[in-house]
Formats: sequence, structure tokens, C-alpha cells
Amino acid sequence: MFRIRDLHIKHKLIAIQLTTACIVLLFFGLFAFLNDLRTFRNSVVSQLTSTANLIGGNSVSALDFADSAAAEKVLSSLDAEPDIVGARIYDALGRVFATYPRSGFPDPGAALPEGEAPEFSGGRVLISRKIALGGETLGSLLLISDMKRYRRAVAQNAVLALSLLLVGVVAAFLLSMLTQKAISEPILRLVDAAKGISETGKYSFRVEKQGSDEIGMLCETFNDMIAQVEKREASLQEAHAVLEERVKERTAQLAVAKEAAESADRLKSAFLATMSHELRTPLNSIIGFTGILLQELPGPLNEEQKKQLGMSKGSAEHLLELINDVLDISKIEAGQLQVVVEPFDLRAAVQKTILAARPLADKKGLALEADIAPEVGTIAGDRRRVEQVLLNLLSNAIKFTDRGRVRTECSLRAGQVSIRVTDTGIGMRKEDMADLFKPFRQIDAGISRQYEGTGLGLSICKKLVELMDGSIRAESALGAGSTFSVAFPADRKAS
Amino acid sequence: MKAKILYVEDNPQNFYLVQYLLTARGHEVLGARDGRDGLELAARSKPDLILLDIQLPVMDGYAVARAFRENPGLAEVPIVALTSYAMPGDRQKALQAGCDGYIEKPIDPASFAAQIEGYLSQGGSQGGKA
Repeated sequence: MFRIRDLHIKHKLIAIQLTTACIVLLFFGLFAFLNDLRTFRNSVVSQLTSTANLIGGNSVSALDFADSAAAEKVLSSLDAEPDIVGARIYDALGRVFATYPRSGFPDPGAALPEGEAPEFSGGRVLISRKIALGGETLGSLLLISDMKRYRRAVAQNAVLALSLLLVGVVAAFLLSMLTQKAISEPILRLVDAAKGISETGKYSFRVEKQGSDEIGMLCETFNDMIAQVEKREASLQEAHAVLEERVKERTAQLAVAKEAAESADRLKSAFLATMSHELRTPLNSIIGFTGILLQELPGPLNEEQKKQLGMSKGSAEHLLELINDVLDISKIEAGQLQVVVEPFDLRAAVQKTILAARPLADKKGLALEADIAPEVGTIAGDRRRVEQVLLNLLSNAIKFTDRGRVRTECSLRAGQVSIRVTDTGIGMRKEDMADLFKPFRQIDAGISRQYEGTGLGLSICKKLVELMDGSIRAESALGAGSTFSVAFPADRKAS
Repeated sequence: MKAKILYVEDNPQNFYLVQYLLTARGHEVLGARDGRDGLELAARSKPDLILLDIQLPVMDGYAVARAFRENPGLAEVPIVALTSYAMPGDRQKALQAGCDGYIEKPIDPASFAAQIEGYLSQGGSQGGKA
């Protein structure tokens, strides 16, 4: 649908100016035309009136003497008046006295006028005059005039007026074309600048100000606004660049720090692995030779020799355990420890581990209870690591329990293996439990002197359980024993 | 069955331990302190089994194992790695280098000789279990 408000401002301005000009021109043209019409008509009437007066005066004697030939002669003088198409003189009784032209009186096309006012009808004007002499009416005169000449003049006038109107409209159009630029051009420049900014995203565009009218003020305000935006954009860009630079710097610093930390980690792991190896080599001889001697391969031993060699062997084996713990933690921290996934009998593994811990419990006179649920059977996982975790929990429980019992519960529910080791030992304070699974954190120095160990056992357990996609947690209260629970999936997929 | 066993080991205590355990069972134990000596001695004495420490001076045990395997006269002799290396992949590396078995130190003096005799009876073709 065509709507004025969708027009270009240029066309709007032209339309407004043109409409105004047309209306003014039309009014003036119409006024002039009507005025002309009236003036012309008046002149026709006055001309006809004077002709009628003249003819009337001239025919007084003819009427007075009843000489119709003379009257017709007077009428024939109307030949000089091309517009007059007919005339008649009537005597006092209303009878036709003389007629013009003689060839035939035209049909007046209307009733004869009573008074002396002109009568317009059928393109003709009818006018009548009394012919009187000394206050006595002798007769009357009727003139019929054609309006052809008048109409032609009116038509000519109309054509002229229309031509002038057309010229006026064209002139107005050309003029509006010129004048609309004064308003539309600055607006279009504003539009172009705004478009340029939104299309390129650059705020370097400015509008040239031409004059101090409202559009000039608009241009100025626009320029101010864009300058502010440009300034803000520039400071934003700068802040962005600075931020990016800082992020880059920090990232580089972090990368260096990470690299350093990683290489330190690798060095530590390599050092621990080498140390473990170096420590194992002499330990191999110690354990081996004490073993040979205790087997009495070289010769029989007395009881004291057996006892002392047994203690040597026990200490060497304990040392080996510590070295193994250190090696395990270094493997874990180097990311080199992997758990295998293969089917094994969990029930047998748990029973075997409890059996391995029995000598320790027997030595302290503790009851070692086991409750393995009937559904516990073959699962997929790392048998050695499961045994290692359970043995660690059991030896911890036995180590920190002087009286009572250590109980192992094992169940299998919803694909999750759950192993719980509960003791009646010394327990722990709540605040000490947070660091329980961190390496080298054996709770308070007094305990570590009384209960030997590296403090690595639980942190190794936690890492191993996590490698099995499981979790470990502890519940305890000081003096009320501890419960360690391990849970892990029974059918872990090999990764 | 009395066997001739070559043990390549640079630590004299560890060598004596193994020598004692195997000699007690009637086997003959020859010793070499590094890979080069071991290769020479093996070429001369044709042992029935080679025990190989992995951390050795001059060339490491994996290189020594490969050298044994490349020697046509010794290619069939079973090799058992005896090492205190215990990082993951050590066993795999030893087997890939051509060893037939892998025993982790410290050895168990009560069962060590029997383990070795197990490898001897298998003839070296299908070892791999320690």
C-alpha cells in the first residue's frame, strides 16, 4: 500500500511544495477566469444596451409616422453588428412592425422578456426597450444577440489560464527540486554517515555542518555523539588489548611454571624409582641370606641365633614394605601406575588377604572377623590392587587397635563392590580426618613414634581405589574405633 | 638334572646369594660382571640358562639380552631377567628384548631354585611367567 510516510524525504518535500503551489495557482486561476467571465459578460450587455438605445431612438419617427419601411431601414443598420442575429420592432398594440433580418426572424428559444433586464438563454441574450416620445409609448424593440464571440473569448481565456497553470506547476516543480536539497541533503548526509558507521564499525565518520538550523544542530549533536562513542571504543579496545596482553603473559608464566613443576615431578619420580632400586639391591642380599640361614642350608642354628636372624628378616621385610610404598606413590604420582581389568574371584581374594593379616592380629590377641555376603563372587578388576588396599586397611586397623576385634564386611549391590573394615581401636578426632588420605600425614608425632609406618598407606589406597573408579572414606570418633569403607564398580571396563 | 647356569650380575653379594642357592641344588653357576664378559663366557661355555641382571654397567640388561638373541649359538638358551626395577613396563621391556622370564628382586630364597628349575624344564621356548 502506498503511504506518504514511506516516501523519501526528497519526494515528500517536492510533493508538499508542489501541492501548495498547485492549490494557490488553481485558486488564483479560477478567480481570474470567473472575473474575466463576469467582466466580458457585462461588456457584452452594455454594448447590446447602447445598440438598443441607439436603434430605439432612431426608430421613433418611423413608428410615429407608421412607416415600417423606414423602421426596417433603421434595423438594417444592425448589419454592422455581427453578433446580433435578430431584431423586431412592435407597435404600441404589440403587433410586429418591422423585422431584422428580413430573411427570417430566428426563434428566440425563450419567452420574450417583460422588463428591460437582459435575458440569457440557449446561447443568446435577449434585450427589449420601450420606444417612447414625450411620455407616450410608441412601441418596443427586441434585440437577440449571439454569444458565439463571447464563448470563443471565454475558451481562449480558459486555455490561456490552463497554460499559465501548467507553466506555474512546472516552475514550482523545478523550484522545489532546487529548494528541497537545502533540507534533504544534510539529512541524507546524516543517513550516509550513520549507515557507514553501522556497516564498517568505524567511528571516524563525521557529517559536514551547513548552517545552524535544527538540521545543523542535529549534525553537530550527531558528530559529538559519534566522537564520544569513538573515544569510548578506543579506550575499550585499549583495555581489551592490555587485558589480552596480560592474559598472554600470565599464560606464558603459567606454562613455564607448569613445565617446571612437571619436570620437577618427573625428576622426583625418577629419583624415587632409582632410590627404590638402589635400596632393593642390598635388601635382596639381606633377605636372601637371612632366609638361607634360617632354612639352615649352611648348617643348624641354635634357638638364640634363630630368634635374632628372624628379627633381622622381619626388619628387612618391613624395610622392603616401606620401599614398596615409596615406589608405589612415585609410580602413582608419575602417572605410571595402571590397574588391570581381568576376572577374579573377589571372595577368594578377600579370604586370602584376611588370612595374610591373621598373624598380625594373633600377635596382638585381636579377633579377626569376616562377613562376606553370599552374592560376592567373580568380578572384573585388579586382584593384586584390591588385595593391597584391603591388606593395608587391615594392617592399619590392627596397628591402631589394642583390644577387641577387627571386622571385614564385603558385599555386592547394584554393580558396586563395598568393603568395610571396622575396628575397636583408638579412633580419630574429627579435625584429623581431613588430612587422612594425604601422603606423609600420619596423625600427630606421638602416634607415629608409637605406631611405625611411612604414612603413605592410606594415600596409596585412595589413589588405587580412584584408579579403579571407586571411592574410599573413613568414619571415626576418638576412642570409639574407626570404619574405612571402599566402594568400586564390580565390572569396570578396561580403558 | 644338573644344569650350567650363567649369571650376569655386578653386585657380588647378590651373585653369591644366587650362586649359593643354585649350587646347593647341584647346579653349576658361572659369573660375569657385565654384558661383554657375559657374552664371551656364554660363547665359550654354552650354558643351559642365562640369568640376567637388568641394571648393569657398560650395557644394560635389555641390550645384553638382544645381543644373546642375535648370537646364533646362544639364540635358543632361555634367559631369565632378574631385576629390582619395578616400574610398569619393565616386564614388557624385558620380554620384548628377548627374555623368557622375569623375576623381581628381592628373591624368595625358599622358592627361587624351584622357579629357575621350572624355566630349565620348559626349555626356554615358552617362559614368561615368574
